[in-house]
Amino acid sequence: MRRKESSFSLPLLVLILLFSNHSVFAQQEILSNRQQFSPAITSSKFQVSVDGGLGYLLGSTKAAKKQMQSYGVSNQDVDSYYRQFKFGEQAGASAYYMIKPFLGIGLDYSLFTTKACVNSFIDAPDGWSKYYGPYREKIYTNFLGISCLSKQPINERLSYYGKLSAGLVFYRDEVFLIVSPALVTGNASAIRGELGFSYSIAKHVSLNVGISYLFSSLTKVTMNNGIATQDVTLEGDSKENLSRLAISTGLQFNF
Amino acid sequence: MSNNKIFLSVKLLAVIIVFALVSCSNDFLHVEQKIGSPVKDTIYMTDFDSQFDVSFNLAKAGNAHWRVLQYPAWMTISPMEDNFMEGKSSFQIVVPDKTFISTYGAINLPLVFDVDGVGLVQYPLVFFNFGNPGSYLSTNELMFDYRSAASFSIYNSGGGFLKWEVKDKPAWISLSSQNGLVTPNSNEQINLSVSRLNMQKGSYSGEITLSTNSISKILKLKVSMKVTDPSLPGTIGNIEGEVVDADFCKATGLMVIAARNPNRLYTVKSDQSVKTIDLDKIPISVTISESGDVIAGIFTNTDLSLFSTENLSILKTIKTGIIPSEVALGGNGWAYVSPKQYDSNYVLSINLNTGEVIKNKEYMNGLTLLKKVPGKNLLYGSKIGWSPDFLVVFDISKGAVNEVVDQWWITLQKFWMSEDGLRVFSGMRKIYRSPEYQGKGSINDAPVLDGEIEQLPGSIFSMDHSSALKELFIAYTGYNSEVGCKVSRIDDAGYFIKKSFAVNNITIEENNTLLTLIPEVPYMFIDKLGKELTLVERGSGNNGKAYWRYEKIKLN
Repeated sequence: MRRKESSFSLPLLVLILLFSNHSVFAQQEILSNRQQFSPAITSSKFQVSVDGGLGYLLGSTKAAKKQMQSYGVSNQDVDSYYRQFKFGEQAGASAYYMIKPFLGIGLDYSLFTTKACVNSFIDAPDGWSKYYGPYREKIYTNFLGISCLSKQPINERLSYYGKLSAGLVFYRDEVFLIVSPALVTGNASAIRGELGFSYSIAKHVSLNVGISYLFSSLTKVTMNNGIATQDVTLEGDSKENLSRLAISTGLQFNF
Repeated sequence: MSNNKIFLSVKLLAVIIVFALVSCSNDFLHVEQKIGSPVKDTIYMTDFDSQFDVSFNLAKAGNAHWRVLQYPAWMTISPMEDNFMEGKSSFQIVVPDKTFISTYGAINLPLVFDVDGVGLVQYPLVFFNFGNPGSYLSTNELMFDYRSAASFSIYNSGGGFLKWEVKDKPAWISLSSQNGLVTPNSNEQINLSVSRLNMQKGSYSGEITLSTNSISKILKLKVSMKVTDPSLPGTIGNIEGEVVDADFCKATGLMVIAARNPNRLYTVKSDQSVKTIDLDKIPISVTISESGDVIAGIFTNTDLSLFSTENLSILKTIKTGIIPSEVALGGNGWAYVSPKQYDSNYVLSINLNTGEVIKNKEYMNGLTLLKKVPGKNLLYGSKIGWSPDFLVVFDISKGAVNEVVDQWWITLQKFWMSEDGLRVFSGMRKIYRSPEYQGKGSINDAPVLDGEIEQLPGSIFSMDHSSALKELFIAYTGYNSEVGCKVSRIDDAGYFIKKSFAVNNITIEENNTLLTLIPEVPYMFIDKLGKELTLVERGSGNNGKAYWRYEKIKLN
């Protein structure tokens, strides 16, 4: 389903991330004072983390709902469908090389999936018939980007961090309309930011809790019904807004 | 970095790769949809079925789940999914608003079900949508007056198939169809016929109500008619061919009818038993003896043949040597034949025992009626169409006709004898006492008048007299042809009309059209006891085609 562009401001996100740690580049002195009681930060050159959580799509569903209603699906079913659709599961992983105790660069990956299903009535193209059956979608959004990590200790065990990643989103929408499957794929540039806290639970392991935001918009997709494929350029309200807000928790391994 | 660290990093990267690959399979695009065999039954529905219960039996489905996949958009199905119980299930089809159906006629649309383990199963559906036709009648009122037949048309102005049905009508009217189906932009003609059987004299009106599936739903046609006299129910027998003559024996109740094309004799007894004999010659006239023992017929080949009244076998044939016009039996072993006009001029006397033919010398051109006077050795004749047409009296007391023939100077316009032979009833409604033979030849006078029959509002076809009833029966057609044919019963002493009844019209189908014909009654006979009246009726169809029948009416 196509979703409308989010009105969330990308520059605002960047500013929040850059200044959330009081500017990573201006905090060198503060960090050096804290190295003494935060051996994990000072001694780890590599940091790998895995996490999982819940995501919420921020795009407007108004246009998509309208389109679904135009197929003959009832308002009630449309509402039910998008209620399911907005929430999804997220999993991710990232790896950083810490060039400074408080600053690392690396790769950031996340997978967001959401699905919806409703049994509904759809008008057939012949104008005579109606179809009844499941209308379901399962969407996979893979993000992979180059990432920058900044973290700031609060005390011996607790620190907060910020990530800012830029990369590509790989979009995959598996559609099943009554008896007809279809696959919609596409990719787009994306920016992902995350703010969170890290709590050291062992010498090399920390527990992370964060909130993230991914901003991306899909303007071109490829549709495949198993027989033929077709490239479609999305314009205006048809653009697929992949932006989402997510909360996640995970483990961080420091080497 | 230690080996352990590297190993852990590799494991984490593997997890990442699994995340990436988990969503990459396209196999779901190529899952083949199974197609099951269609259901053997077909659902037949019309738009009159607002609700229709359907048994859904699919033995191989077992207890599988089914779901409606495809169905016509203007119907609802309940439930949309369910489970089979040992291959049996059911659902209900409802058409909430037939105006959503955008076309009319037969619509073949399948119902498609997705049955677990079986695949897509088609349930054939034939839906006949009559649509929403417009309708109107060719007229809103029909006044029959005295007529018995009329027609109107029901029009379909389009928009669907017009289904109509007679919902109500007066009992005295019949329609050629009780229901029908009219295609769009066409019409159907409906013939109406009126039965006045046992109805009292007067005016009647009513309304024919037709229910339709059209927008206007109900169509009404006002009808009215008049009854002059009631008709009596009769037993009908059809006669093939054209009747040329008929006679009746009061003594035995036997009627004989001669017809041609095909050439045939019919005898009809009072018990309705009918005998026929096909002839190889063309009959002109037929008669039965007073005692009813023999039938005589004359033919265009100059034959005079005698027939057995029992089995219609030919007893004897005598060549007369003339083309005759009428035959009479004297009851004395002789037959008498009148000549065909302008062809032969003399009456013949034929000895039935010897075959001797004696030509009378009296010039008798135009003699077209010849009747034996009951109980007397006399024949009466008349020259129909002449002016005057004379009452001609023949003396047959000596077998052959006396050479001197009395000719009374009067105009009769046909005549009929009273049962006792004492009176002559003329077509001019005059009644004369039967004159005895005078032996005077031409008599410039009329026989003694006995009275005049009350004025009848029509032209007389035929008469017969019943001594038992003391009545004279007269069949006539009203001057207003719509009144139809009637029979009046006349008191044979006062000569006034005692009562009348209508003769039932003849209804025939000609070229797929129902025709109602007003009958003529050229021959009418009352039996000895005055219990049964026999009418020989003729109806004229299109192009002059004649339809003949006889009707026996029981009298109260």
